[in-house]
Amino acid sequence: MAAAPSSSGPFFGVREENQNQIMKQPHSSSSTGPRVDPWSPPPKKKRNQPGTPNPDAEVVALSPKTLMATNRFICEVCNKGFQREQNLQLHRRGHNLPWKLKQKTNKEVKKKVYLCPEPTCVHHDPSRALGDLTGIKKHYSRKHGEKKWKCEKCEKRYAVQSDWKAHSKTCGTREYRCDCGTLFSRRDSFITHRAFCDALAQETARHPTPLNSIGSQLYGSSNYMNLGFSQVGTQISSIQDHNNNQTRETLKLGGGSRNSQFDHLLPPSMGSSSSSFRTQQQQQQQSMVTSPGFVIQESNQIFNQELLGNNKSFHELMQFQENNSDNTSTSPSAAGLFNLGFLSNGGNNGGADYNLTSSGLLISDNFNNDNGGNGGGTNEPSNLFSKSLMSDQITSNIPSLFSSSIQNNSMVPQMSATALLQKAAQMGSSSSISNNNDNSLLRSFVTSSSTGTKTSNFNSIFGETTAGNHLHELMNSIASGNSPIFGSSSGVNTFNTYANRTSMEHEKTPPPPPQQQSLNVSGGGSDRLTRDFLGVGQTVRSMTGGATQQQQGIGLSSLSSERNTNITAPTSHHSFRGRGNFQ
Amino acid sequence: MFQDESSPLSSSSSPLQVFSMMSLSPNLGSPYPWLRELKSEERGLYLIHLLLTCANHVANGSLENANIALEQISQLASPDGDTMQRMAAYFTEALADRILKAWPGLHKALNSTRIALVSEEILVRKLFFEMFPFLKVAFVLTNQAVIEAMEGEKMVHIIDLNAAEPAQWVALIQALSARPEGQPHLRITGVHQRKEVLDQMAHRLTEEAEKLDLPFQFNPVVGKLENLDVEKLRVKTGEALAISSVLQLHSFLASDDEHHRKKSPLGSKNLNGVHLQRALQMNQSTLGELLEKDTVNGCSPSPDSASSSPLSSTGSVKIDGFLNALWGLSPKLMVVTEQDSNHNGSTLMERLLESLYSFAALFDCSESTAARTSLERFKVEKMLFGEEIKNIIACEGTERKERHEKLEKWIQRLNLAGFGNIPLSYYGMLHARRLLQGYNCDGYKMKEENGCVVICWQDRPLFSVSAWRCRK
Repeated sequence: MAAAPSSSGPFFGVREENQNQIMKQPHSSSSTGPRVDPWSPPPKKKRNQPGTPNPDAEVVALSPKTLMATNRFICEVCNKGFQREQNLQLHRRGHNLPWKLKQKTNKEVKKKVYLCPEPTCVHHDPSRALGDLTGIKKHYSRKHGEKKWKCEKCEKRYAVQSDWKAHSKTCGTREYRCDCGTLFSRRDSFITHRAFCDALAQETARHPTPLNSIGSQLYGSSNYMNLGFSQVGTQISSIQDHNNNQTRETLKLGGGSRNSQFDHLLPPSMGSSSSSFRTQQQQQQQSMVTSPGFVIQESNQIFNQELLGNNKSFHELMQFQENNSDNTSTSPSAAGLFNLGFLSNGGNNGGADYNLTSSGLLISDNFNNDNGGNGGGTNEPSNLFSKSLMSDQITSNIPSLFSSSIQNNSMVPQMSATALLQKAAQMGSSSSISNNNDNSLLRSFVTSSSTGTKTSNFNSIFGETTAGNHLHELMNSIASGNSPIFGSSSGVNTFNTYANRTSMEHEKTPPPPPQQQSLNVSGGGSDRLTRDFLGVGQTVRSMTGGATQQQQGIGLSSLSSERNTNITAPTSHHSFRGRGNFQ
Repeated sequence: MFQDESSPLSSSSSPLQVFSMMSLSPNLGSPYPWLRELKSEERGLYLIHLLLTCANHVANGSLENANIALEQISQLASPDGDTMQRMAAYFTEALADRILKAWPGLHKALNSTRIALVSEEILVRKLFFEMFPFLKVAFVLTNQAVIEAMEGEKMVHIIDLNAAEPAQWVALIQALSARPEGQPHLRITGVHQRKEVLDQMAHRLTEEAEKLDLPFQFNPVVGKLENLDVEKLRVKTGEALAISSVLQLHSFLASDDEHHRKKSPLGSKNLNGVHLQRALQMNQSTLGELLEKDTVNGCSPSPDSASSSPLSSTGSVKIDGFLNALWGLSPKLMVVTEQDSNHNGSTLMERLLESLYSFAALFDCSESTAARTSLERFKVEKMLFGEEIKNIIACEGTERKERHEKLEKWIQRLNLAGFGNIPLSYYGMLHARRLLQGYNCDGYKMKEENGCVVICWQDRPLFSVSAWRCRK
């Protein structure tokens, strides 16, 4: 909306700062919805209704020097300079010198328009000439001149003294403080900032009923992804449903919409973000409104980073996102949120991570549900592998791959501290009930690896960290023959390093048995306790074994599903046997 | 000295006390390389065990044994690892801090350059507000309670005992300005240590009220809550008063008498020096046995463990005084949000076990909310959870401020202070529930208990919200 007047008329255009135009663009597009954004500035009153300069106006082109000469008319008596001849004439009157004021004669005076001396400037063109001398002077100073007037209070610099004066009068008297802590001396910059700052959500989410207003206020005031969802409020369920359906579709039907989905897969795989993948899928499948949204966000992000620096950009982005989701329909908002994860991945770790997590929650749930009926957890990994192996099920493999990767972040029930505490307690109670510690311990460990969900299974194979989980995803991808997609992605690097690390550690690690024996010895008197930890150690050993086998498999980079199943199954057996041997 | 320690154990019937009998052979789990290769689950279990062992040594004042355990834990714990690793890192720090207090010189020297960064603290609290739904739910419930209690009132005065977050009151201003019977005159009195925080709050709220043309006044009261001068709250006759306390009341439970009681045995123990021998003589108990007790007490969110804690009966004078002062203002409504955990046990082991459970839940929350690499998450965990853990574990007496107690106890206490419970608004709960659902995470749950609300992670209650009126 700022661009239009500036292009249509020279008078107005001058005052519009480029920056503002950029700022407003994403803003106005964000409020395309029915609701009027409370922060969008009221439409500017157009002063001097701009139009093309009078065609028969005299075009004056002054050199920069003449233009900037402050006092062209000098009094010969006192050397006082004046900007206008009229003023000099009036001044001369004080010296009792002859003076003459030009009489206003409408017909006689020809309209003058002035060109900006800067050749690159739009107002250098006669068709965009400015209507008054002061205007062109100020324009030239502001746009092409040095900003030599500096506000003492706020470091702001001005090229035109009057601008500086005007600013100095109000600077500090009226300040606009955003909730994020940023201070503004100008209302417009404050408003622009607010359009992107998180605090905005508090305003935009206002609803007529008091009840709603409480909630939306509170929802809105967060910067995080989750809130992005909650802002959508009641619509959230529909997103969920949609996702649900979609995931199911992809998982179960597989071949059905395979082609299109696979297409979407390609671009985001370079971004190595699962959320972006999902987004695109959603975007294109669900609504057409979204694609422009995507573009807007992209430009917006750049803008934000430029204007406000990286540290806040994520928040603002999220904020913007929330606007967007409020104003437009549900689906683009969801998609947009995911998009953000993709976009901000590069510069903004924290941000992207949030996105990942939350979207992960969404997706992994679905995934769990879908697989819930499949029965024993032990089968899960092999299912994954075998599915992925079959070439016509590529689509079903990809989502599962992605969702399982996210799952690792959000596998709350399985690996959570709460669950661990409870498990520890459970182990304790069962051991004392049966009074046969070995068996119960054994049982519990076997249970842990056989009835756990797929993640725990993989964890038990690959061990500790998220890297391990990465490995697992990549295993999937490699096994399924999708590796080309990931060819250059950072994920592979992760995998490689991890594999290296693991193998190194493995080499470093002396064979476990002696250690365990030493453990056994040191345990001494406290029989049960020692065995408890032996149990742990034993499992670990068996797992390391498992991991080596897996790595070999990777080395070949063509893991067959059968192989995987074989490996998985023995893993638990292995520990079982190992334990038994030990006894 | 041995008797010193064992007498309270035998006198107490709480099965939790068994934990302090626990010991672990120091040789076990020495830092073999394979320790580092433990997978998450086993490592977690091992960490729990080590933490309990260590806590036991710390409780006994046995620095050398504690040191061994701490060293083992340090092999496994990590502030950027999985949930249990992170948790263990902060618990370890807390335990180390506690045992180190036996050497006041060392402790002071190590902490001599520590500065309290209030601004950081405020930031972290804001992050906590933003990352987790707990405070938001509390705010929604509080505001709806206020709106309903203030229906028809022309002069509304709200006292916020911890005025750090304007969002809540902005929402209220909006709600009040839109209420059908017309706008009230609203006054909000905010109590906070920092003037800047209050200034910002004032600015934000005034701006909002101006925008909505609501007659509004903000009354900042700079200072610590414990030194609050009730006069400064400027409660006037004729106005309807509502008080909001979010996570503030528990600090008034800190009392000095306990200080002496607890400090002296610890001190004497330390004078006696190291107790390696003794620890070795102690009954050996298994992790299993140990955790079985845990099942009874910790897993079931039974309030028994809380009420059986001997300390609670010794009412703190401070809290009574404060509640009486509040009662004296005759508020029409008081909404209290508190951590719903029993972190105010008299013994270290009691508190450790309880806090293990509740912080496990909190760390799980942050695991589900933020990525492991997230700096915000790290900050919240270190500067909020970590500091709370440290306060619960390492501090005693008046220093120990984080005396979170269960809702039952607050109900008792508030009843005694002359407050009557008001059931929370149905609409408020409805809305809060929707907010939780909006988080799109199964973990967050909300339970209603006799008109009060308990916000949980899975089955573990974490925060309670209750509304009160002045019973004349």
